[in-house]
Amino acid sequence: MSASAVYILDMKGKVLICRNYRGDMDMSVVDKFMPMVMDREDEGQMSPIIQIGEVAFIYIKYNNLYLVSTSKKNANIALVFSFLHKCVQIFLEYFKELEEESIRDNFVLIYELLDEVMDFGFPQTTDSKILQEFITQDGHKLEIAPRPPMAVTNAVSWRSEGVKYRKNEVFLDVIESVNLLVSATGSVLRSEIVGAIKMRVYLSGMPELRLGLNDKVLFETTGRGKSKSVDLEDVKFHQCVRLSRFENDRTISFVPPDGEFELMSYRLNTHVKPLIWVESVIERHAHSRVEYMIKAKSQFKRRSTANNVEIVIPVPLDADTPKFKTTIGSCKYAPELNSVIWTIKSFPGGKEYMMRAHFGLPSVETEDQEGRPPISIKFEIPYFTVSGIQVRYLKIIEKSGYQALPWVRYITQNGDYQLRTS
Amino acid sequence: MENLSIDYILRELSSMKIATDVPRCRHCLSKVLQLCSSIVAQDLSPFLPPVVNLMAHSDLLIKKSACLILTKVSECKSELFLLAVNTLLKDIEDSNPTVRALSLHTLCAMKHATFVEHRYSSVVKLLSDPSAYVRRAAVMSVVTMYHDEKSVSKDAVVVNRLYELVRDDDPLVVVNCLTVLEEILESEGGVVLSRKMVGYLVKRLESFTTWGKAYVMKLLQKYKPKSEEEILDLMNVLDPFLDNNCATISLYTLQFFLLLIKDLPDFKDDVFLRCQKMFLGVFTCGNSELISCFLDYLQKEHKPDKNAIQKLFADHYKVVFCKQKEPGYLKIQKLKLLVELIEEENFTAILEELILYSSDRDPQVSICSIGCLKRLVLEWPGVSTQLLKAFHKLLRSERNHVVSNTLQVLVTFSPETLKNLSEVSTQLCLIAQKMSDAEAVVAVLYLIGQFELDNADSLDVIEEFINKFSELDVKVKTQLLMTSFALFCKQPAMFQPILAEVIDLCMHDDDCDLVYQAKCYFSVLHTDAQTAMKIFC
Repeated sequence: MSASAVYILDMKGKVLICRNYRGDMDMSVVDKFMPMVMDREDEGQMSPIIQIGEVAFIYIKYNNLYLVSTSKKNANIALVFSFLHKCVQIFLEYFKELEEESIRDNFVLIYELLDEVMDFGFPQTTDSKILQEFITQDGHKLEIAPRPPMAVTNAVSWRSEGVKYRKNEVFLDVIESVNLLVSATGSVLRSEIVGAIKMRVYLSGMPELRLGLNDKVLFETTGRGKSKSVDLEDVKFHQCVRLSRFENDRTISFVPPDGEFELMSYRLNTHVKPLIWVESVIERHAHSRVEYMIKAKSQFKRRSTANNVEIVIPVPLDADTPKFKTTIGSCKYAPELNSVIWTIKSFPGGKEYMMRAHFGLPSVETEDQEGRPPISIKFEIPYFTVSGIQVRYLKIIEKSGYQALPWVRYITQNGDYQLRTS
Repeated sequence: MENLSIDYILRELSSMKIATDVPRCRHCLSKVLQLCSSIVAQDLSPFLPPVVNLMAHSDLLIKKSACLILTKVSECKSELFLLAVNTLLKDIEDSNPTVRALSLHTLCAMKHATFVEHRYSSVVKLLSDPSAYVRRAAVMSVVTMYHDEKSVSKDAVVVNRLYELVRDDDPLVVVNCLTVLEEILESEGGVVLSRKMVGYLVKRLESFTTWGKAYVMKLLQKYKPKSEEEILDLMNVLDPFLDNNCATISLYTLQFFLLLIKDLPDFKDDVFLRCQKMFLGVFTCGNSELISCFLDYLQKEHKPDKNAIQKLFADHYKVVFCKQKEPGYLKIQKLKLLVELIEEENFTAILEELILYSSDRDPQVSICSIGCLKRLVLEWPGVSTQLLKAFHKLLRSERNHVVSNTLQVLVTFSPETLKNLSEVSTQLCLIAQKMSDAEAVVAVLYLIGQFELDNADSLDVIEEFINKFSELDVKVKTQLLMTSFALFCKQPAMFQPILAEVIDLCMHDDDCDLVYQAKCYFSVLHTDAQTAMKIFC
């Protein structure tokens, strides 16, 4: 790929910041971009690539910003998209929110970052921890440890030498997200668990870590087939993990990057009962009112509890005078989302709750714009994983021989969790 | 509101105190950068004197900002450039690698002759710098140089040095060298990939950054192994990359494999299936642009090989289902893929999905989905009851574009197929009175002519159109003429007066084609009505 320039534009197409990488294009070419996007939007032919003459605009939208990359030749579209998304991620790590305001506040920092992540249109280092070494700005979010000395030659590209902490600690989060799609008739269209092990590493020197999981393949080869184990599918590792060792004897061994990163992800296709099930009866009386009866059921073990459950029920655009009745939790009408949000702070397993909502509808009907959006659910179940995955040990070996503490947490949460309504 | 005027900042920057007040100075420079960032041309040359002075400042951030501003005002000419060059040349000798790289970058970004004459020596010097960070920058600077002055950078010293640096310890230097060589030697076919070089790159591949891996994998696609043994070796070593974390790398690996096994077609299915996880993974990644790229690849490269796609997704078709929030273009691509995957077992589920999106609020998605339904009607003659129901429902939809799209798809069926769908016809007359866009009206009129309808209803419809004849679109008028004729052929007695009236109206229209057509119908009927009916029906 080779990007000629990268721009960040606001909703009206005004350039907030731009960086010319190759100098082979007039920078003002971007003026043609926004009118073209508008045209396309009007005609309903949206696409993430717009070609004007010999210039290709490859763009993504984030909040109310456009990140646009222009390219003349040989651009590798998929890679440019990945790069733009990566940029968003880096900006977010540096200043939490990415929006017009934060761009204005962090002008020089963005220039510095843009200088480092790409050179002459080719991506360079995009690892935020390594990037930090080249960034002189202070007071940004990432600065936790004293800045390590410049990495001159790195044995591994993701960790600098000479990192030092007073207290050596490792935090391990096992997070499983449940993706669910249920059809209007109540049959499960898709159900899948995406797991991730995220780490926050505050360790000095070049530590060597080994992680033991209750991996089924490992247990079978070592003759512990009877113990409880999980069958991980589609395992993906951070680049620091030695893949050859994993292939050989299923050991997960690695020199971790400093700070926060995702060590591995996996997928489980085993069919599990949807953790939170919602049945809805919607009665529409055109021109007068619409009534909802929502029944939510928790289908996990009694000793677990789902926290901060939010059931978002879409209602018509022009609904008014909301009335609610629930057995538990609270309901709120959120007109900006055209939804009712039913919040249940704590939802123990094996319970069933009801909610009724009543809305008035105007006698004159507006054109139905939104289709029938699905009900979506947010939740978080601590100390519980659907897969039953367990961290058996985390060994930390460093040549200076310090003792380090590993902390482990398990969480199951919603991913893309949607139930279509009829 | 802060004062952002050029004068004010200039005054601040030119004051003597500024060099000692670091935070104030940084702030002022960031304001200048904000001025630069607007594309609207502003003359920033007044800033040059203070900026050139600040380039020698010991604070790194001030230095960076000053250099950046300098590159933004590179168009103007000034004696100050000489001073700037000297500062840069001094910084190239600095002990801090960041400073060395920064000054080289700045030096190469300036197009002015004063800077250009020092480029070559500086770049060559820093190509052997002890710091990897500086070497990376130096390697990339070769391209900048090349684009300004083609002959200089192609000389043997630089090219040889770059080939040496391909063996550098730092992974980024290696990848940068490859990209640069590829670009400056483009006319000679890029980097020379010997067997040894390929072996070396494959060994280093794991250490590269994501972008580096992707780039090198793409580069490797140029390489053609000599023997089957070598092909198999390469495939064995590269196999893990088929399910890399980054789907794009996996895709390039797949492309490389497909090239390798061009003469070994037996492997193709296996290689493809090996990538199944990767493809399925992409669908759940949530990055719609990326999914779109992959679908695009599948559609373009493997459309002819329907079997392969079937094998990849048939058991996992649910992954392809659309999500409410996805952009229209992605939904369209997904629907197109779904219809390829349809089989006996998943027929109902996929059909349900297609029907759902047939009434999508995005007209493009809706028409694509209805188009897919059409394919089902043609390819699955046995299972049309469900489809019929679907069309019924669509025609009853409250959204005009859905009805219009449905009609336009119905029109494209052959008369035989339409016979199977005759139940749909009951609603046509109602729709004809409701619709307003020309395309839809033409379609509905055509269908009225085709189906065996309740004659009284059709008569009403035609009469209504005759009443507002003058307001109609030419296309609609033409179709009205043809429909009246078709109806006349079926029920001559009932429709004769109507046909006469329509022909009369058409013959007096402004559009000459329509007049000609009407005359043609008239003369044919006039000469021999019986034969005419036989011909036209």
